[in-house]
Amino acid sequence: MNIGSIGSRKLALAGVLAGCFMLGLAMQALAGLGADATSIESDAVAMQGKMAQSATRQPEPSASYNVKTFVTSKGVTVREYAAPSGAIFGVAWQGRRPPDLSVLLGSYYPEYVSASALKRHKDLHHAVIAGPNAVVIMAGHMGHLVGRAYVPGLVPSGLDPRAVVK
Amino acid sequence: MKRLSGRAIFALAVGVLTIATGALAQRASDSEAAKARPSFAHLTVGPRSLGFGVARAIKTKFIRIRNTGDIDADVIVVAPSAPFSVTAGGGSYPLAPRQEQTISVQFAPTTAGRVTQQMAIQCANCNTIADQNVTIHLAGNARGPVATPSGTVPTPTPTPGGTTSNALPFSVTAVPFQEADQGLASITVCATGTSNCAVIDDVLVDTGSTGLRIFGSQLTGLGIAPNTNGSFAIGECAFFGSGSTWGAVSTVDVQIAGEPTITIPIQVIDDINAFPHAPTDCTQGTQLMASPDAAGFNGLLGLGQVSNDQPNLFTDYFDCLGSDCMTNQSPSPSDIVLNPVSSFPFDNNGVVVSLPSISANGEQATDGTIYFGIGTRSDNQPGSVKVYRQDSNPNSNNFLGINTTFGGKTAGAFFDTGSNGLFFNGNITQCSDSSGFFCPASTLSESATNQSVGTSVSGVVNFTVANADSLFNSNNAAFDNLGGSFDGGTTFDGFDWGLPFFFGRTVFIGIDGTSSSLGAGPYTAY
Repeated sequence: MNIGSIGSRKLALAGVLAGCFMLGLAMQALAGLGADATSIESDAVAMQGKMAQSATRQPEPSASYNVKTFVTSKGVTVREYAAPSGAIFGVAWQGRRPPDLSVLLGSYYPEYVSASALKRHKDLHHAVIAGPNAVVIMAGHMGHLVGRAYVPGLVPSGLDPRAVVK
Repeated sequence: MKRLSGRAIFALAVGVLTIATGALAQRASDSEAAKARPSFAHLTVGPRSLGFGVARAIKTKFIRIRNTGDIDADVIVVAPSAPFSVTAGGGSYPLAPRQEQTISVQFAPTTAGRVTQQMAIQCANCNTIADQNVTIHLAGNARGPVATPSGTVPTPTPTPGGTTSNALPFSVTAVPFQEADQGLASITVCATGTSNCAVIDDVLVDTGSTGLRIFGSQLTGLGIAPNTNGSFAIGECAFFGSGSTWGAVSTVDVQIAGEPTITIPIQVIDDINAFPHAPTDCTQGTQLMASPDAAGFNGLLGLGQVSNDQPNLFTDYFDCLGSDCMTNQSPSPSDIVLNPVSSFPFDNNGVVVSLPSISANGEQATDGTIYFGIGTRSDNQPGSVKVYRQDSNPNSNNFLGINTTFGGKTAGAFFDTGSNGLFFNGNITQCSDSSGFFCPASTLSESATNQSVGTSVSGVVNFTVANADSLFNSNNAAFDNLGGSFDGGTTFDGFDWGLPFFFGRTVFIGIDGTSSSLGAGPYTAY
């Protein structure tokens, strides 16, 4: 019984996955971390935000990246960092509240949710949530919140995400 | 369609993560077991002085003691002599962990004149010398002999201290939440106008937020209901550095220290599904504080420097009907969560945070005091202090902040008893567990310079940063040298002067829109 039910769940999951893969190809549906830089404007739309400046930074000869900034309707400044390949490897924010992380963390949101439950040192005003693939750091007192998230595996070589994503 | 693909990926990720979660949880519990603390007893006692004023009849005042350790405390009450006496709670007895006892002290003068005495509350097996023998100062005055007051015999109020004291004791201890550098106090909440009251222990003293927030699980049975707007129940979401709180706004009676009872809206954090689920507009994808154990406190005593919790700026308010909640950008003033201090009839211009110096190795438990008011009583007079004005522009990114220079860079900074470390980005080795705390090979001596906003006042703060893993592996819970990264970056971009900053200091924190002899708030002076 058990084996059978696991097997059928696997099948169902495979089916859902295949569907998801096709949808993804058709729509570039995912946004936020891990998605393509072309999706940043859809993140801004999702948070009723306004795009601000776009810039290409060249901190070292070996690597460059693009930064796009927008301000959400709630006044949160969001910056998204894209590698030359287009992959968004980092996001950072600052405002009176957090931005919608379910949008900004994209496909890494579920691992952030799971990793949140394992956080060891509880502190009201700080959280470092390191998942298997993405690192999310939040801090601040009420009314002044900052945060950053990045996927080490997507960061262009030669860049230190702790120095760049801010 | 977009939503469908998101859900499918969520399902896959949850499946994969369940396995990893199991392994990690096992490792975490192993490490907790390895760090089990030896048992100890510790007494929190308050107030430490009782003033009876001029007695026209026999007067009774109350001292509250509480065992904040995890084994029985062997209490001995050393009674004073006439005209003072202990009428309840005296003698020798064990006090179980987490238990409280009210000690009634009577003043029955038989002659005219002022009389002062001392009594003692001893704890034979307590863990610190300070709480093995706590001296209580007694003072009273009389114009002649007095009689028992007519009418009912006075009974202890459930207020900690039970006097008109403005002093709220708090304890920095790992019991019961196993966390470091958390200042925990007891307050009393009652259904408005009733004697349905509960003493809420282990409420985090937090100057980094505003408003009283208590988990609903701590208030069950009191008959506290959400405030309403017509047929809608008022809900609220508040945003913190580590996540959000969600729940009803309820107006309740609150007793803090010996201050007069105030009737104020508070947030009842919904950990018992007594209120509609948080709308997505509330969570913003951040994690809700799900329970006292998950959060590390039973509630938050937000003493931050504004008079309310700033709807639409710091918080969102909602009108809820059935299971649906919609944003209400114009909550009624009677539904806005207030700073309890601003709501006191007196002592309402700020707070004084006082913590003793502690050893570099830390302490198992250390007691501090919040004095309400600045310059309003003999115990909250600023002596010689430097006054750091804080940014008072609500539109500024550094609202309520000062400036701090560290390593040649200057950024905004704030003082926050609710942060359990000194948090700043610096070139210091972080611990290997991804917690963000610093783990230097040997203790580092650092310094930073605090600067007032808009005045020329500045001052150097010297501090040390010890290896956080070593601190956590000790049996202690109060540390003045626990540090960590502010937001994970390599560039200094702000300083959170958390609880370690307050050890060995008396810090005066003035509320925006008020004034004292130190000038107009917001300011922090020490």
